[in-house]
Amino acid sequence: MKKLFFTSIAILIACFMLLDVCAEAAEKKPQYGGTLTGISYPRAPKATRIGNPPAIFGADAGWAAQMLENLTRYVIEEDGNVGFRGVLATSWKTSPDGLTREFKLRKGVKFHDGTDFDAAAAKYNHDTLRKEHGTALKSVASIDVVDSHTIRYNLSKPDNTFLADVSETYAAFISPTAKELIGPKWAAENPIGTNAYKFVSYEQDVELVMKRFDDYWDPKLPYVDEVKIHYVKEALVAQAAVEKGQDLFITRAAAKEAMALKKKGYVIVTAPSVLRIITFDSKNPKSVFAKKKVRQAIGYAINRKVLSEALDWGYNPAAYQTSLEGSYAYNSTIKPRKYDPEKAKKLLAEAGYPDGIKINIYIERLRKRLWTAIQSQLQESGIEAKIKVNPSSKMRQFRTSASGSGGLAVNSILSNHISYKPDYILGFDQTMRSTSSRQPDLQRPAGLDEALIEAAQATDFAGKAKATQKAVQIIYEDATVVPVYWETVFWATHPSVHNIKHTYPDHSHRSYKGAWIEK
Amino acid sequence: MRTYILRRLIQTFIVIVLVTFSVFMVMRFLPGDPILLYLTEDEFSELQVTPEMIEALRHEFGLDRPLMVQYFDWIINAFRGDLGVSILKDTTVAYEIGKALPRTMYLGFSAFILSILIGVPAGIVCAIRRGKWLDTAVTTLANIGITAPTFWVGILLIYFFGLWLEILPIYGYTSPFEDFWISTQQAILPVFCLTLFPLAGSARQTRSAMLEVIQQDYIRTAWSKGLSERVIILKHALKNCLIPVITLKGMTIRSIFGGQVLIETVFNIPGMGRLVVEGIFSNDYAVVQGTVLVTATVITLANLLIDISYGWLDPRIRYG
Repeated sequence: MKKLFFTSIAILIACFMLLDVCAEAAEKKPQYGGTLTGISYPRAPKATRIGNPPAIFGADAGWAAQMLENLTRYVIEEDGNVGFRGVLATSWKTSPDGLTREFKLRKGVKFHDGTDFDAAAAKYNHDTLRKEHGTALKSVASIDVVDSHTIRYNLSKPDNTFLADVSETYAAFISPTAKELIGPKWAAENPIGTNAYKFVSYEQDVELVMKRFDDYWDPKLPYVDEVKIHYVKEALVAQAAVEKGQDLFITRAAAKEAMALKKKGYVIVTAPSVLRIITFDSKNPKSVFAKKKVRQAIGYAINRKVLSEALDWGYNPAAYQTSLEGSYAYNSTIKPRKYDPEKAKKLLAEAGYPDGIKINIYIERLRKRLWTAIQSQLQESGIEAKIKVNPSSKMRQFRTSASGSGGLAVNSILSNHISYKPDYILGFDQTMRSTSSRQPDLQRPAGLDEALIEAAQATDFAGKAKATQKAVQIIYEDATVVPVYWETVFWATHPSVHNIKHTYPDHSHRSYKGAWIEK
Repeated sequence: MRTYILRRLIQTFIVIVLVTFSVFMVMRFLPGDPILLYLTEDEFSELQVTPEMIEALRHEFGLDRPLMVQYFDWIINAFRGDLGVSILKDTTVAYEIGKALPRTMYLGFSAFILSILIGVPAGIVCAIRRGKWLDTAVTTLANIGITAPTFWVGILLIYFFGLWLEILPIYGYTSPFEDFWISTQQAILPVFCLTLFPLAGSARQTRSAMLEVIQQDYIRTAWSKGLSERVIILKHALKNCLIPVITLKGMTIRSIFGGQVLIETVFNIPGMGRLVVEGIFSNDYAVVQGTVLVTATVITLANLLIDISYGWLDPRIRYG
């Protein structure tokens, strides 16, 4: 009797557990149908474009990523390494000398216009990209079509940033047929790709509409019938719309609205976006910033901890070096230049400025609050700073034109940034290399180019990490640039929406192809 | 009358030229360069902006010519219907205005009509029921309507009707030809915000003018003849009190168009207000000039119609 009783209890418990598991499984099962509506903020001051490839000036491939696909995509492995997964490539191999990369392409993939994606289409896209884009696929000397679904890239030098490069949004594929028939301008504004959603309509800074592509190569996807992105400028209105359920997510929400939505049960995801830095007119021999000690003094004169706590609810981590803590590029041997006005004054005195210095700070209107705080911090170190607010176009000119051709006045620092890329070398290439066209007023230190090349040509990840950390060390010791904080972006999603994946490299978009709406 | 209209059309033309010239010059002297923005906006580009590149693009957009040549070229083309090309949007200005103007007109016209249909009767009722609770209530509401900032009212309405009661959409615009019901739902809040100020003004002005008119001798005569209140007010008094109201309506058109910038921003409506503001912030000369030209034309022609209507209202007014 006793045995029967306990056996019955055990069976009952097992049944309840099984039911619970079934219920949970049933809850998690993706549901088909529905329209996924969301809010994005238009980029100021220029109207957002969505097209690809960037042959057209100003074409913005960000949202096109929902409609286009690459050979591979980034992942960040659990140990912090940058890894890659195949998307339109099913496998790839590298020759022992690192000069050849061969990709097997996925079969049965169609563009939204019904034409086939194959090696010829891939070659067409990447040949165009190399021709029309200054630095994309820069290490590729030529591209060969081996067979209909095998493509080979011949590199001019070993380059372990190659996979990162082909994973960038600019390296996604559009239908060559559509582009050749109708023209590049049309192709830039009407992305015909291979992704799970196809383009329906787009009104600049108003609305983007995409609908499911029924011939997508993964027959399970997508779950949702339609995706609508509304561009809303006003943060209060965006928040109200999401709270009401008129829209189901916000991309790049402000910290305050993200926190308010979090309290209402919304799922908030954060990620680093850009590293805010200070660059100098250090190439100008007459500038005070030509002296390393003055640049180092700036590093000690800024209280990053206070700034990061005060701005955006403390979600912007202070940065003391040009890599994110926890990433493979983070150099743990670097002693951070924490806020120390006395040390800053001492460095200035050693540099020959015992009475302090007078400088100009060039900023965009958006950053005035931050820079007013920095200005008062600099004052405590004997640095008298005059803030010059400029329109975005002027700031871009400063970042690309050398002094004398519309560049900075002498003794100037510039509010600047380095875009976050999981593969740091790609980000550093754009900003820090001596061959970069950005920041022509910035003096790059000896050894940096070599360290970046070494990192790009390392044959294993450990070697790449070591060389990248060396580059970070060089930048730090030279105070080539002074990092301030990592700017965080927020995404808020309604709890009824599941499985929106974050994609790299720049978080300007997410992948909605696996997303589904719980009814 | 014909001579008057012709004279006014010439004046309208002069006003438009003066307004567009002023805007043209102000835009040229604002800080910022659209060519630089155009060249440097591409985040992926490693492009080094060289002076030669800037000059080439300036030449392409005609910005290297003397200012007066640019202006006359533009104004002559404008009267032919060619408003130029938006540097940053890469579309023609006429196309952009063609999309934005109907939206603005739809909302503005709705607000204008509502402000007359509600404001004038409200003012009449206040005048004939002067001192009563209805007069007090309407006058108080009118005062609130005049003083409350449009932007603030818009946000409040969004929270109340959109978020709390959930009976109206938070933002958006749909053409009435696409989906009339959704369009109407989306238009209710912005039109209400746009109507508030002109409605309040109309009510107050009508009340004031009506109070003056109903104290006239001829109205007293009408009362003593035993005519009904309705006949006295609508047939005898109304027309005479409308002249200051109509004058106010002319100014209302200006405020409706001007107020649309804020309403379009709050309710996310891609109309003329948003178009011109974006153009100003991005130094997109052609867009700003084109929208100002269209707006100035609409307002001056509307005022001309209003001036002509005086003759209909008061036969004593004849234009030579």
